[in-house]
Amino acid sequence: MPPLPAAAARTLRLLDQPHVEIAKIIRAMESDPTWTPQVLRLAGSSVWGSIASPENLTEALGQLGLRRFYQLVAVAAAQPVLREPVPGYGLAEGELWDHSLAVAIATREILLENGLRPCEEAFTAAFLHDVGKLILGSALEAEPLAEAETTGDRAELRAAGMDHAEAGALLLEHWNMPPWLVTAVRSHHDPLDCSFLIPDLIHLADAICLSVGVGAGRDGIRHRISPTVAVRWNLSRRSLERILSRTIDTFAEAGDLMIHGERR
Amino acid sequence: MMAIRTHVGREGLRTVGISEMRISQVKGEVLATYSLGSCVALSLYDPVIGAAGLIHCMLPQASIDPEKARRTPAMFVDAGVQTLLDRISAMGSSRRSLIAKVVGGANVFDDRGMFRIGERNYATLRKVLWKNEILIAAEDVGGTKARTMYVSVATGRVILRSGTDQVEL
Repeated sequence: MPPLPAAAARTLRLLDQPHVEIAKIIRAMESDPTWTPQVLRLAGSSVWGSIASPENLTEALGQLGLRRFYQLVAVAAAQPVLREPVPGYGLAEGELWDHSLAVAIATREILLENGLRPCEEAFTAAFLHDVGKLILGSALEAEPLAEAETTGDRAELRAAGMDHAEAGALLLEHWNMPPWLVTAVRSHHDPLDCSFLIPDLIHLADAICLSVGVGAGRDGIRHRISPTVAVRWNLSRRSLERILSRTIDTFAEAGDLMIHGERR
Repeated sequence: MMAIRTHVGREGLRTVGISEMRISQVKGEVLATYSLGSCVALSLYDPVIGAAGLIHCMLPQASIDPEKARRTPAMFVDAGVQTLLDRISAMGSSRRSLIAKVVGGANVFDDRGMFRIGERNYATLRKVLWKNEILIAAEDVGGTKARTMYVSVATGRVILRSGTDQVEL
């Protein structure tokens, strides 16, 4: 399993403590100076809700607050691995990150369409929902494509004995991520047994983005939607299309965060 | 690598992104659009005026957001395809000489049908083309494949890629 960068792991441990000095958090982050530009770029992005680009980590922390900063650090920590190509899934460099970004945006649009406020925890979990593909990718390289009428998890189960949702949960546990985040990722394919709604949001958002080909990979858009989840969110065809329209617009505006972008 | 691209350097490749359209009369160019899932792409080629057009539409009907359709008609099949046809006509193309090819319109597995946007995109596209008296010369639509489409401006040839598979349409 890929390790979490040491600076990120240390920072997340500090942020998880009830009382922590800001200076200690900043020192932990600055122990890896190569990471700072990436964190500031995320922190300054309109996608993250920022209206001004912070000049330094102290300003970023002040702008976001501890809770949102924790989530940004978790995403920034995963970005180096999420940008890697995953040949077993037919994903080129940056495609998994771009898909994760689009799904995160879609979770927000689903909530807005339902008249609800954006949920930062759902946004964060969406960024990390497919980290399990990083673990299963090499096992899948030798595996034939799933049969035409089945979803990609059949091939995952054959090759590795688990699907990427479970693999992702195991990786997040290895990274000592909080239990709600582990559960959200573990349940995003089958959210019905889960007691909270973040997996629902990720399930729908994932389907929305895959349906237009964002992060489709070798399995294309062979993905099954749970009808119960769709009913729970009271989606109609028109509301779904509105969500998709706004997601793609926001995704396009987040061009500076995209890594793969349009294939050349 | 595909036959069209071996004749064109990277400088000749023109990407048409999601919700975009492009018409070219530059013979050295290849129009390309990537990762079509439920979206539909329409290529138009007029050998008389030597023009090729390509559009990548995401949603079937502009009525869900008329203001957006005014700004970005190519997002919607009905508004976008009509705009593409009007623009290529304005360049001197006649309906009779246009060769139309369609790619995309895939669907995720959805028993309730709500997520079958690809089907709705394709159905709307057929209606718009029918209204404009244009027949589809070739197509590769439906299923669950993610497709990429290349159109040669010089010849009008269309190459379709999906995964490692590549065919001429």
